[in-house]
Amino acid sequence: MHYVQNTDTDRDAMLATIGADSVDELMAVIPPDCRFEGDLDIGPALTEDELYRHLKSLAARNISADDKPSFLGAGAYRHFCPALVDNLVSRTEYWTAYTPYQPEASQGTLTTIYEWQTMMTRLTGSDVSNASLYDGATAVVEAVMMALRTKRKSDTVLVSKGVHPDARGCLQTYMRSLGVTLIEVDLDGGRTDPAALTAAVPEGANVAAIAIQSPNVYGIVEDVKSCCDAIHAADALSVVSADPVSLSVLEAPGNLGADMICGEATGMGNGPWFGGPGVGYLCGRMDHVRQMPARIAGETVDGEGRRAIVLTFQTREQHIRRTKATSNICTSQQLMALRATIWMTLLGKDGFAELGEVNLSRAHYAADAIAALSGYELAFPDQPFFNEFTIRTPIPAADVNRRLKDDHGILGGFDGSRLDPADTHTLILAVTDMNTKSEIDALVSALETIR
Amino acid sequence: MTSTDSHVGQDDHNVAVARTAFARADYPGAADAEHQGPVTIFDISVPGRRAVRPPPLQVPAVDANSVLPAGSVRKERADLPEVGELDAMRHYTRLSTLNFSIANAFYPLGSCTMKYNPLINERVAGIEGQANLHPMQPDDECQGMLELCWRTQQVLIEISGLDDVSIHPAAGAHGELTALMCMRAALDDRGDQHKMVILIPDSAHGTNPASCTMAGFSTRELKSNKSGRVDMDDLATKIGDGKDIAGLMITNPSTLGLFEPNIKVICEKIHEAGGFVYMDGANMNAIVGKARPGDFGVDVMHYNLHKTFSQPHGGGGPGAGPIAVRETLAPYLPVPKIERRDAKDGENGNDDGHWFDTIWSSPKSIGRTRGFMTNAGVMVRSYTYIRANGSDGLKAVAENAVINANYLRARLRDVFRVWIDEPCMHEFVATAKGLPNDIKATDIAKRLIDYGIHPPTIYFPLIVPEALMIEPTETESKETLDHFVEVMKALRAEIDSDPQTVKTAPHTRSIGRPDEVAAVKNPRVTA
Repeated sequence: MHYVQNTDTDRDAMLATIGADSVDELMAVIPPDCRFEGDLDIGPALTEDELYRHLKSLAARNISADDKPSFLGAGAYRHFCPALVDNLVSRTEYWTAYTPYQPEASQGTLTTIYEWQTMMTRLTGSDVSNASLYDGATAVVEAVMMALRTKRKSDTVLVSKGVHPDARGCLQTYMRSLGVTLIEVDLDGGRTDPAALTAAVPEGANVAAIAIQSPNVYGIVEDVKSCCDAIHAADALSVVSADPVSLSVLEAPGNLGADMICGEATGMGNGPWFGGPGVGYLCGRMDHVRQMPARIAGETVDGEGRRAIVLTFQTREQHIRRTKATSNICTSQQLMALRATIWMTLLGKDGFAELGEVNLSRAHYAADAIAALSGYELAFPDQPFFNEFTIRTPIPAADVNRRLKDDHGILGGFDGSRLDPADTHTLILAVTDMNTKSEIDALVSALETIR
Repeated sequence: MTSTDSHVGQDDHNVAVARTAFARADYPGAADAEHQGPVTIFDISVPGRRAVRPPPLQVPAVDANSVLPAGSVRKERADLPEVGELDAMRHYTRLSTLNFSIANAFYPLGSCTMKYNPLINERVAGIEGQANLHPMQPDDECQGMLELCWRTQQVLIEISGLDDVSIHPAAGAHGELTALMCMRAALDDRGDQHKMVILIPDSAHGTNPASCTMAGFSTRELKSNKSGRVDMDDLATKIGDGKDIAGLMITNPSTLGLFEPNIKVICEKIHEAGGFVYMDGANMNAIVGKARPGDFGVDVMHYNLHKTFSQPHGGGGPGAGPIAVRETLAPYLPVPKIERRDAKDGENGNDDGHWFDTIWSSPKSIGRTRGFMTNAGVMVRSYTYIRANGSDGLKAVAENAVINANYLRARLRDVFRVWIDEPCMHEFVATAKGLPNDIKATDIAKRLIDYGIHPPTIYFPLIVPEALMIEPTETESKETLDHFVEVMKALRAEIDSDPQTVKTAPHTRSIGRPDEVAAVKNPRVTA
């Protein structure tokens, strides 16, 4: 099965117009010693019915939050998504179109980018947002590289260990490639100590950026303002990675001194999808816009004075600047960003705030109940959190997770030993608006029996 | 006055064609004299209006100020839109009609492979157990997804003729960067730190040189010869003694739609200099199943799954840019990756008794270049597409992409100048250079919009002046191609008879040509 419409008659007529005797004659532009004459070993062609059954049988070998309550967060959070999001995004004008390089034929996509940018700047307290990036981890890297370009003679970047391990892993790969020194700063009692950020700056180093994440990888809400003050005191730019859903309750990082604000927005109307596609966001200050990577939409007028939305500041980009571009990126995560935009619209000003309250309240309800269990305690009882928190477990966290699944049909939390191998008895639990009270009660009852 | 009125009495044939074409463009959202440009969601926001309710609290409400430090709590609610559900639906439905898409227009956007996106791909992506699968779940809970990703890897290895694949990269440019980092690591590993130069033909995509910069390489440009191919003398000169040559990045077929006849020799010369050959796989649609990059000497390449393998373009993403590599580069591929083995006792293997492991670290790996593992949602669709086609189907994809492009080239060569008029592959480049009345490529592009056709890629590749890069893809019918030819003929006649209409096009959209200079001078990037 394939999707070619040409019949043999069509092909004969077309070949005659071309002046070729056969398809082979056309394909002969490939030199004989470069051709592949065999059959690809990729299995037989399948019909739609066979494909559906095949893919269904594969999916049946997954155990996901579709089947069982899940308290796994660790950078990919599930939130309620209105039915209308699916309906609107399934309009072919959105999902089969491409990059809006011709604004007259793309005002739909461009306007939704403009709306996304507006919403993200309002959430983060910033001046400008780009159209989106691959994911939250690369968004941290892009924010740091934006800082490196802004502070041109810089050679060093610092990152708190409160930042998601994948973002730190990406930073290591990219900074090594650019020849930039990367220093990881240890946490103090699960949180980033602002004084430790400045203390970690090596003598004589010219620091471009110091990156933190709030809520951090243990769920702790960092003291963003003190961290940004310390970062500025070190003459560096502050990069704050933040789950945008947490900004329903938490202060906008831009109001606390963040220069670049970035993160993963997949929780807004998109599923975790085994980690991808995600949708990274990046916001910042207008005076840094020319160092910002990827697409940015802007408002202008047409010849008759009508509002028109276009891609702007394109001289930053690879198709014009080539080796001197701010980034090699030429894709946004448009469809995921569109889902997020419609999601924010449908929840709206009040609904978004209420969704935040549900996360905060249910997570605290769960934390209080677990902390009251014999053998369990909060790992960082004095630290504030939004919808994710860390507990100490009486037996290894890996065993807790296994028993939760095998005996209680519950997918547990993120095993802290994946952050620090010595941390065998630490479990990080996310409780969002997708975890009902009865799910939380079931988790607490189950933990009571696991010790 | 509509665009078609200006033809009356000039050329009956052209008028007829234009009328049909115009009818196609005239769906809701097209010409509206009263229109003041797009309305944003903020324009229709009314304080206090609500759409969807979030899930209920169910537990005692926690006051943020009681559990969070004062400075951490948001003081004012984020000023998100306040609209009802119906108005939100109408707003985003109406905005969608301002777009061109494959579903409502021929979309011959060169280098982008705007083929039909089969709906079975969307249906299988909707199967339960995928969208809510968490990337941090243990392997025993993800066996289906790991197998699907592993199978995608295997078919991509087979199609490339190379030895290993990483499904890590999130886009083509991301694949370039990831692959260049692997090349750097391999060169460093064998003591070739001094090899810093990547050769890049002047016809290359802009991402190629930009990726080189990000991976710490410098670039040296290769000239194209008169027939659009790599100039072999210039190649020899630019390689020089080869000491600083890290590799070559080449797009084959090239951005001119031409297969590089010397590709084998080029690869040999780069190998002699101790470098790697990188192939930008943007144009795989022309050769899939008919030629394998690994067989003609390429060491590493990326795929654009949103081009060749029908992942919807989504208005600009998500895509995916898996990279295929020769054995020599395989140890450096990013982690995590997936390996298959026989299931052990107690493991519930698949029907073939296999088990799939996530490999989190590997001694020579460059590490990670993204969060989590892969764009799984893209893998599902592209795997489905490849399996729908099978070997014969993929060969038919390439053959019909080449037939359709050559058919258009043969029929359009008397209408617009084809830059290099010889048998092409999946696309060809025409030029607006030398047209009367100072008509530019952009004028043709804008006027095509009035005729209900998405413009070709313009002003690329950079080596062709006033370029019009046309890629019809294999999924278009002969009738659609014939219609396009008639429209192009009508447009060409207009250039002589009514150039002003062409220069001021489009006339049928909600907006005319926007002032892009003003957008930079007086930046307004939020509503």
